[in-house]
Amino acid sequence: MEIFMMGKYSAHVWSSFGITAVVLIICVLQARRRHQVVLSDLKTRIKAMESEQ
Amino acid sequence: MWNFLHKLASPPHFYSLSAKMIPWFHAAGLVAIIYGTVAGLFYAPVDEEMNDGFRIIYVHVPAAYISMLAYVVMAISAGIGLIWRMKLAHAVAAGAAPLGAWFTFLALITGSIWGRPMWGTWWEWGDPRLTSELLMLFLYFGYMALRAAIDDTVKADKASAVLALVGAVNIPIIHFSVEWWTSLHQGATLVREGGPGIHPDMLYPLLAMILGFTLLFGALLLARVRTEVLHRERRTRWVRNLLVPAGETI
Repeated sequence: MEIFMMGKYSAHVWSSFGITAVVLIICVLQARRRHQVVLSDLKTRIKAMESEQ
Repeated sequence: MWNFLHKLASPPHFYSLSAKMIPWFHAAGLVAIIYGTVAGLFYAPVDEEMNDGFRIIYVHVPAAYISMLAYVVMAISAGIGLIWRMKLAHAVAAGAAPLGAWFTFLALITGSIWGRPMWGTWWEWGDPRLTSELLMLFLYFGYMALRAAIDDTVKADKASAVLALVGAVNIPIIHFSVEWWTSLHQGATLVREGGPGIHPDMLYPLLAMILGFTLLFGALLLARVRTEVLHRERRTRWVRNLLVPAGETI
């Protein structure tokens, strides 16, 4: 466990890496979510348009 | 070459090609980031002055670098979109903005966590490096707000492109701020005369992190531009055929 200790800067180093990991994961999930929203939105719209015709 | 670029810029082609490229960018980026994190946290030697605190640079420097790279990508794409009226270029600019905002936020937060023990303060108003980086965050927000406020895509593209280009003045200011004025922030470590001023065991993990962040940014940008292209092309035949395959009954 000793290698995980960063002396008096432990909290600073780990919080920096932790926040970075969280933000990167948010970026990936956000991009994925947006794509799915646009996709399903378009599918609904196209189906509604074509069933009207 | 022109032929290839022309083909790449065609929305349906970009849409299918980017789908194949994204997983590779993700995988390569992840490998580089994992190596950089493990080597940076556990194998890089302790810094004489800053002890283990210096390890924050392994996330701070790449985040700050991408925050600026995203702006450069956004401004150049916006410029190309304005001059050559290329739709894909505007889509790239629009995709880069939220990513740039996230990485700027990350650079500011990790910088602040660094500043507390090293400079004795979380934040210093009036410090040129810190303030110009914060200004960039507001430029990203302004760009996104402006786009969101205008319904007409063509008008939104133009107005936001002008804002992106005007704001590009801030990029050299961020970069040279530590040379032009007195700043708490240290000068350049990697790009300077006489080569990087840092031990190779500290340098390689940092380069790996920068590479990894760049690849991940590439994957994220492609993904966002893909979504943007799909939305912009929503009324076209190819999108219709993509979503509702021919022959399928509705």
